[in-house]
Amino acid sequence: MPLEIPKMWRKRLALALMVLGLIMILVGLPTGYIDVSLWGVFAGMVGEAIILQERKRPG
Amino acid sequence: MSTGPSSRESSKPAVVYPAPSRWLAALAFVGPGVVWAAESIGSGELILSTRLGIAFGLMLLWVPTWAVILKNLGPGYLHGRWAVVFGEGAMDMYARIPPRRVWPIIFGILHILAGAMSIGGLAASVGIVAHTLAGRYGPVQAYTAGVYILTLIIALLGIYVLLEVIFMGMMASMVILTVVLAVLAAPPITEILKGLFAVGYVAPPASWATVKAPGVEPVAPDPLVTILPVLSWAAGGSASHIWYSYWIVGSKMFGMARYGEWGRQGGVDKYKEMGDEDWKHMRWWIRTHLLDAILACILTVLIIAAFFIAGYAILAPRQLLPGGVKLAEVIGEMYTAYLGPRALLFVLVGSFFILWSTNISQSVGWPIIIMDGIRYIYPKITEKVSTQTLRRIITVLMGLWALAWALGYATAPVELITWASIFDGALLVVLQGVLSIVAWVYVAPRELSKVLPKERVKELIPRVPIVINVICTILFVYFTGWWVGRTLGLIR
Repeated sequence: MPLEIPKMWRKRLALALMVLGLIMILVGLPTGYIDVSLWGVFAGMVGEAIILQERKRPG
Repeated sequence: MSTGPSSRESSKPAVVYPAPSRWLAALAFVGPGVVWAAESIGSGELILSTRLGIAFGLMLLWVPTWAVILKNLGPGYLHGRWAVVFGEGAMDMYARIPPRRVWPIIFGILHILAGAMSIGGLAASVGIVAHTLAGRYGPVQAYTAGVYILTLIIALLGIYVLLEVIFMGMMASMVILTVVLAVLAAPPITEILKGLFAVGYVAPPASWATVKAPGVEPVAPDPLVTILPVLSWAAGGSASHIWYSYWIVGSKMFGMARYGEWGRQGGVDKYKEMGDEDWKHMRWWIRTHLLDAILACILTVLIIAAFFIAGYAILAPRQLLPGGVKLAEVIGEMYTAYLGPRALLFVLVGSFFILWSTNISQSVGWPIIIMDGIRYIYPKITEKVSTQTLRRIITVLMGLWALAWALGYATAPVELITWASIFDGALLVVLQGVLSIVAWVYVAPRELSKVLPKERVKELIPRVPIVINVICTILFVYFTGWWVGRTLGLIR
């Protein structure tokens, strides 16, 4: 499969993205930087998507 | 939760794949329906449904919502169920209906045009969003061609895995954002409920929406020209129903889908080997598939209603319609009106990804429908040419034709999307509806009776979805007939 990331790193990457997303949402909302919050939602959702994709893999 | 076999080690079935034995556990197995919902979020929701809400108001909310409910739980569900019961895709289902292989050939041929127009319409929309993102530097056609060539390369090489998570992430973010926006801007719930149940109500569009202006595509004064495309492409058109059956076969889990393979007709022989334990699991696969289709329906209704309400509540008072070269700018306005100008870049990138991911899915999926058609014209083709080579040849040829459509309508994508949706959605969904009735009422009982007693056959035939499909087909015959009559000048 092209552009494969090792399994262990996929999980770490997903977790890192979700934490980063949460921090961005929490920082963006009170400071009025709505775009920071929106990109935070995106980062979190990409993390979630990596985990979902992981579940779909056979084995 | 694991996607592996159920934990009931003591009662493993011999023929079907072990199924989840509780509704909650079945949730972990849904997948094709989520793909269906995600794939269908494209121009139908972002552009067509939003335009309907803006130009016609809340009383027409019934159009996208009931279109999704009837199509998902009618023809869509029946196409998927065929894959569960017979372990084959929809094109193989059509091939069992007299006069047999004529139907997949007809669908294959008609989808060459439906596919090229649909892919072209989406590619033109993607080009406009990319053009806006680049600050409208240079001609829009250059962006349309550039992005679509990239789409073709991705479709040919299949390098979709890494992009998939970015697409899923952006789609989920945009959906959450739009639902929040619709809730914030929503009119009173009584008005929403009125629009939801005003089935059959048709009103003329707001007069401002029919006025031509530079860079804007107005709605036609005839409401049917705007209503029919939304009915047609809410939750996808006829191609989406065929793909849904492919995705179930591809899951290799749901009932007889375990034995399904592209390019080969399924059958009923495996039922001869099924014992009581297998039947227990088969029933749960049927329930899991029902859950899958219902989840797809709920998700799509929520999303399409959010776009409709947000468009109605935010853009209608500003007299703005998404379309033409101002397509992306107006969609951006829908979000920035509430979130402020800082949100614009995110919304434009989000809109780009929503449309682009659907465009890639279409560019990958449509050639497979055409390959199925070719397989029935010349069955030995799969022996002469490898499936991969055939797929690539058709992807390139179809891609080039779609690109020609996209460039021809580079500044007026809504016009092309409207025609494509009527062709792929309205006309072919009517044909699909009729064929689904014949398949489930005439063909399936005859095929299954060869190996199963009456009571088992009854268990496999879905009665309520057949009734929903009949209602859906009548609705589509009515509106499509009306549209054809008006277009040909037979009805005023």
